Amino acid sequence: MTNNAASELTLQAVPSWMPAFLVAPMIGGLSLADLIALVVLLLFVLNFVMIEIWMERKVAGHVQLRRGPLHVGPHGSLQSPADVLKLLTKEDLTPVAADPIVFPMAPYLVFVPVFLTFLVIPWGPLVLFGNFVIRPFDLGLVYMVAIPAMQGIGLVMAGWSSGNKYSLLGSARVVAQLISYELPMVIALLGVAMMAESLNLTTIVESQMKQGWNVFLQPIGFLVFFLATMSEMSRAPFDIAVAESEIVGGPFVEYSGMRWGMFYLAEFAAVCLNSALSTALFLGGWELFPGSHALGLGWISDQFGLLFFMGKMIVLVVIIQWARFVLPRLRIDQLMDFAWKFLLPAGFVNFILTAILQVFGFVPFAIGIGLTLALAAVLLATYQARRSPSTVALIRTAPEAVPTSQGLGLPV
Amino acid sequence: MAIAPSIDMLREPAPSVAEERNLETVEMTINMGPQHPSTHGVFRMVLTLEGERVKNVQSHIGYLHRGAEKLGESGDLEGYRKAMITLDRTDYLSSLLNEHAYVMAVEKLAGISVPERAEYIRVILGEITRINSHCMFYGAFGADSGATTPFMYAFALREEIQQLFEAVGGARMFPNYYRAGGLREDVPHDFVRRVQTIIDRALYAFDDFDNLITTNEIFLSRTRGLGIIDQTRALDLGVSGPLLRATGLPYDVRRSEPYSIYDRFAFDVPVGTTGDCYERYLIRQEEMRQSVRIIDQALKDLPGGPTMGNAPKALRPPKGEAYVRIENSRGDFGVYLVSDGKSSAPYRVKYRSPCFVNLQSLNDMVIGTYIADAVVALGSIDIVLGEVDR
Repeated sequence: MTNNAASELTLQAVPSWMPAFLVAPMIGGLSLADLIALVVLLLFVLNFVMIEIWMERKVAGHVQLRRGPLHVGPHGSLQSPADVLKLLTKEDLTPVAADPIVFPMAPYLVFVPVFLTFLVIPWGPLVLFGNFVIRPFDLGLVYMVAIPAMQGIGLVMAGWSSGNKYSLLGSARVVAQLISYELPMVIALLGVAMMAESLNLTTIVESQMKQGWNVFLQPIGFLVFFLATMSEMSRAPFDIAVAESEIVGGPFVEYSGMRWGMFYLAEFAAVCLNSALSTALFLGGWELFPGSHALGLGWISDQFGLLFFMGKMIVLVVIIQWARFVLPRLRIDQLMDFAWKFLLPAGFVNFILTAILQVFGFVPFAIGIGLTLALAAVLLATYQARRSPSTVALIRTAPEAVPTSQGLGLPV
Repeated sequence: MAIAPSIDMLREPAPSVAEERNLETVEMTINMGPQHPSTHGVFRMVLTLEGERVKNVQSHIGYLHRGAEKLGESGDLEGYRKAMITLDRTDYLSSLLNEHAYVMAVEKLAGISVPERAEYIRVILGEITRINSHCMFYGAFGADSGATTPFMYAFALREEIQQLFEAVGGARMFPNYYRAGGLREDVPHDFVRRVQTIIDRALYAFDDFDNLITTNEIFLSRTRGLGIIDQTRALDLGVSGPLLRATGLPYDVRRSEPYSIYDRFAFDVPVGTTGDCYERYLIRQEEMRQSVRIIDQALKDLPGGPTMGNAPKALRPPKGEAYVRIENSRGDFGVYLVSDGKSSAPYRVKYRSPCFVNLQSLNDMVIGTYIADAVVALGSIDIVLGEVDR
């Protein structure tokens, strides 16, 4: 097993046209082609984050009866580069109370895991490369759960080393949140692994082209995964770790300049990453529409797949941003309740339904889905009934007997 | 400690895991404010926390104390008008309502009558101010509970209202527009049309407000059952306004003790049942709609004629005192004036500030809840620090 795992770390499909010196392993087993791919990936992530920030501000603007950035560049599209320049020129403060070693280190420990996870994403067919993955990895699914979990350490380091009580509270919240939401996420991924019978992300995408997208075969799994990842990256309405109106930014309170920018970068890169993962695992990766391969239209996806992958990813990014601007924030106990009492059971239901589908076939699976929906409807109805009668109706009636000031014993 | 011992007995939080297992814990004291995004200005709370739970809260006020009352007593050339300048700046969100109380006190002291048209315009502008203030509450309360959009929705409406104030009084926030005996000058010729536009848009805006968060599940779970104050406790504390009405007591000065011409209009006084944060929110939402109702009726009956009675420019009221209370957007606002009969400025000015009194209920609301709840509970009181500190 150990030998197998080690051998998986090498490139699987080296394009035949590549000259030998590019793919020859150099320092640490990395070839020149690997290094080039890493640089390209880093540039992609950095640029996509800038576009994403601009998108988020535009989404925010249009949700909030504004127009968002308008003045720097056409439709404010150069606002993000301007912001990066501003961050770079700002003074980089280290508070007196901060730990001089851990404090500057933390931002990198938050960003690097997110970046590393990008390595296993199957981007889709690329001219000259075939199905493009930077590191095809048979344990991809395990890797993409394990590596981002390291982010928590960076956030705790940031919160603890800042020497600020708000940061400390924020990092305590981060830990609680990450531990709670890792579980439903992994349970939801079990269903994906069972459907594809593989942990390799490329195989998972290809299996969806044969048997249909996972979002239709396991909608509950998609819901659980999407919400859990939203919470993992501390996005609204799960952003209790940075809650601006309570603990004014949590672990990032004391950071300024580009170090603060690194946290911001990590947050937006995580949004991009998780949208990409959702696309690959549930939305059929680079396929144009479900069943297109069965209809003989697979060549469209095989030629322009990268575009479709990016398109789906951007739709998910916009949904995540949209949620941020319309929803209030959950409280910490409600957040925990949501993870343990809703997402986790739902993940198990999805797991069982997937097992039924794989073992007994489609008809029992459909019956199972029907039963689940019925159960959900009953639970929802019970919940609605348990809520006390509508206060809105009660307060609109004006009582005739209105007390006077004398009646209340107030001074006249 | 400024905390009454009875409050600790009232709000004993459930034993935590640490307490059950006899683990050693350390309480953390955290300073919230005066520079904090959700302390509504320069309020400062010192929270004693056990984990996320609030064990104790100590409030500190006075960061915005400007001596508004004392400044009002030293009006040399401005006389009785000077206090109104500083009064505008105490509760900067309901400035015209407070001006109304002040001019009524002066009129009572000096025995001045007010023309019909001025009374109607005072009511119209006062109710618009109430909408303006409740909009601000809506935005800030949304921000406190973590939603960013309500603020922008509220400010879109506030912008139009403040443009109206600018057209009427020359300033967006501190119009200083009322005078003892009437108004400084008549309203612009397109006043009726502009007010009509605002209330038409406001009704749409209120529906938008509702659609955005009123029935949102997260918002409900954040605000329902939080910060409950029962009726007895509310009366003991002297709380008034939406906080008191949320406990089920329909006490509204406009109805209990009609002043100005409020007895001519039909409007409802919304009351709650439990007195939690959500009902305070609902009551303010409903009050905005009732204000539109009042404005609608007042616009229909708005008479012509003069807006200033026969009040002298330099007032020198006879020796005596006057107390006037009105319902401003935060509760029972009172103005107490004393004249010594000799000088042209008031001998003593005293304001009964609803914010200051309502703020006393903070400890009852916050102790035993989470930090996030403390922020929402404080937001539901809807304080303006300018008025708390004066």
